[in-house]
Amino acid sequence: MKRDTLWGYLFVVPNLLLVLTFLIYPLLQAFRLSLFDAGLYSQTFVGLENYREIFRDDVFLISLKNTFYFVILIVPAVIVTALTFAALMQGFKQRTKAVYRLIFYLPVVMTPVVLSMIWRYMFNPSYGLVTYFAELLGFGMVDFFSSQTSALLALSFVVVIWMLGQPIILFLSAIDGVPPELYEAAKIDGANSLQAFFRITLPMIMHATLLITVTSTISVFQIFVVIHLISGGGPYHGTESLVYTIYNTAFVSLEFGKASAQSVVLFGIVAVVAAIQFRLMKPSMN
Amino acid sequence: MYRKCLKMTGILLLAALFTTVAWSSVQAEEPQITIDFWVGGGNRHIPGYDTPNHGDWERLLAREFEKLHPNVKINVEIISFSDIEQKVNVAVAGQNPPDILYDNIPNRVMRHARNGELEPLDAVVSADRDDWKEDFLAMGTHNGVLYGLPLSSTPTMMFVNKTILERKGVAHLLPEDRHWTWEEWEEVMAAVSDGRIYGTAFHALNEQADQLMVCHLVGAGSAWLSDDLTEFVINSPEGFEALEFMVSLIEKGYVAPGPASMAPGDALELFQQGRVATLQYVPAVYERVAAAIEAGAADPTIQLYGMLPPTKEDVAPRLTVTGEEGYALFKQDDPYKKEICLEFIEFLASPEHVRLLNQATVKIPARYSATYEIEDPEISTMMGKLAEYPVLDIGKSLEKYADTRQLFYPEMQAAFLGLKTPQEALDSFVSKANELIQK
Repeated sequence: MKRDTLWGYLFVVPNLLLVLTFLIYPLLQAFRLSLFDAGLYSQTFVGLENYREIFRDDVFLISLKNTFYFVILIVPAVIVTALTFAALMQGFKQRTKAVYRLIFYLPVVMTPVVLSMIWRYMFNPSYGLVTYFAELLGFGMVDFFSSQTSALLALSFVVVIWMLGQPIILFLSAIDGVPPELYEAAKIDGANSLQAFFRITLPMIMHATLLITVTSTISVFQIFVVIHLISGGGPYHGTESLVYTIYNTAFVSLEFGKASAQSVVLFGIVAVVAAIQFRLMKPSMN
Repeated sequence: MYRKCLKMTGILLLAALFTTVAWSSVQAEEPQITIDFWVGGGNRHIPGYDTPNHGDWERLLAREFEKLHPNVKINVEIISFSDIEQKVNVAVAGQNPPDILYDNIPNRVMRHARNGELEPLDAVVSADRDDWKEDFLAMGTHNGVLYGLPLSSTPTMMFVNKTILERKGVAHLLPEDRHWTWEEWEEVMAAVSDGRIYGTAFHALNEQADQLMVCHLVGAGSAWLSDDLTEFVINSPEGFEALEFMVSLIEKGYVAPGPASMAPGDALELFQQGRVATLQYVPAVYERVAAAIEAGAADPTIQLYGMLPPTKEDVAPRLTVTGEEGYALFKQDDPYKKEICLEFIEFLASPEHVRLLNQATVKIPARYSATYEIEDPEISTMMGKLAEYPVLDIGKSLEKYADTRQLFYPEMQAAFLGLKTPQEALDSFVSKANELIQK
């Protein structure tokens, strides 16, 4: 083996060990455990029985449905909103851009726990800030958690606010990388701002859009903290996501085999969705 | 030169050997140990001590014990009741549980006793067993061995904010026998509810304090469990009638908004703000409201009047019980550390400490010698009244009791929101809970 190649492998080995220990090994263990009826103290091989059980479990099916609702609501909202803000900020001076970047990125650096606790108080129907302003405007008391639909929408809004910062930064960076000659040429050809945006900017930043779409989708599929701290999965499982169900199955019911089976299903879904997204968006990049 | 170097090396080696032996012998006399002490909730406002925050009491006791045993370090970690079950389960699954746990004995600790994770605590009570009430010790006993040492328990009751009733001109409806029927309770709630102030508050966000809601559900005379504790029976006509009554109160606007997503702490917060006229809770509210008023965090005009839980006409009140917190010791490999841990638990559960804790939280102590004087006539009258009524067994001794709690609150949410009828909600809960406990 060439010396350079050897050094390359040596530098990669520590990271590889971390990935093997904290990603690959737990993944393989989850696959293995999903075939067992595993509690705290015993494991019995049951084959695919856990998978049969979870697809007969109403709560799991509801959480699967809710997770897809979250993805459908949140991911497009994040992409469209972030892209809109990034496009609007494109013409700002650098200093103004920096101020807005800070404002939008603040929720990202705040821990989700703090964010969730603040929103929980804001959503309180009796003394929360949302009800206070609603009453000032004459709407009366607002209880977002009086129905499953409004609870889902409320939590989706919180997640969108939290997730906006990073896509905006990425879009800004991608838009800055578009050669200005293309816009000049378009202007000469008589294109207006909107035409330039849809015909030049959007295609040129497709790589960033793909990255944001895939990472946002994966993040939303794993949504947990806001649900645990704001709604507790309620009302009546109305905001319960897959990861929240996995958490309850593992650490409340102590059914680690079943929780592993649920995790494997989640892994499969995320892998398929990410693959579809790559397939759909790659031609546009080319 | 060479011989000089050899001599010096020999002297140095001997000195190192001697130091190591000496240090080891010192270490052998007083091994340094660290105890991880996890506390559910944590206690505060202990009479005579500066303990304004949850967990200050436990930290204070840990520091006092450390002074008695300089080789012992105690790491106190305060965890909320809503999170402690999962945290301990995760720790046990990772084979890294705490050394000592302070948590609700029948609700959560006894699961670990049944799984063989705990050390026996009989040695802690052996010297003064006569001072301990046997029904308290029974809560923490499995197969004849004591694994959990409860320090207290507390019955649930109803609080009325007399000030709200006075302002609404219905203070005359307060009964001297401290009991309302449903009709009388509803009459008061109808008089006080005005869209800003509500008659009462229900909560069903999670399993915390679900005993308070259970108390309402048995208000028409239904049983919760069968006599032999083998099945839940709350979906009886009387149980359905009680839940239907609760739902009707919500529909009439007598209940604070958002019961399906309200935590018990939120309900208490509303009561402390003077937004709710009556509230089913525990006697500790006497202390909490007083402390909150002193801290400027509650409506200073609140006047508390204790009541028995309201029931349907001709149905005698039955009380649910909660607050059975106490200590447990997870399995220890080191005999010396186990000895120190047992000594620490004995220290924590001394008559004086048990008395102070129960006095601060207005609970019933597990030790006879920990009885305390109640100076406030209102509290004294109410505690005496509560002692006259029977306690409902809600199945805390069942192996899967903690799991059945996870099935209960979603059905209450569904009923409160109208997603299910009261009958459907109770039938669903009973069906799932019975399947679980009979598995």
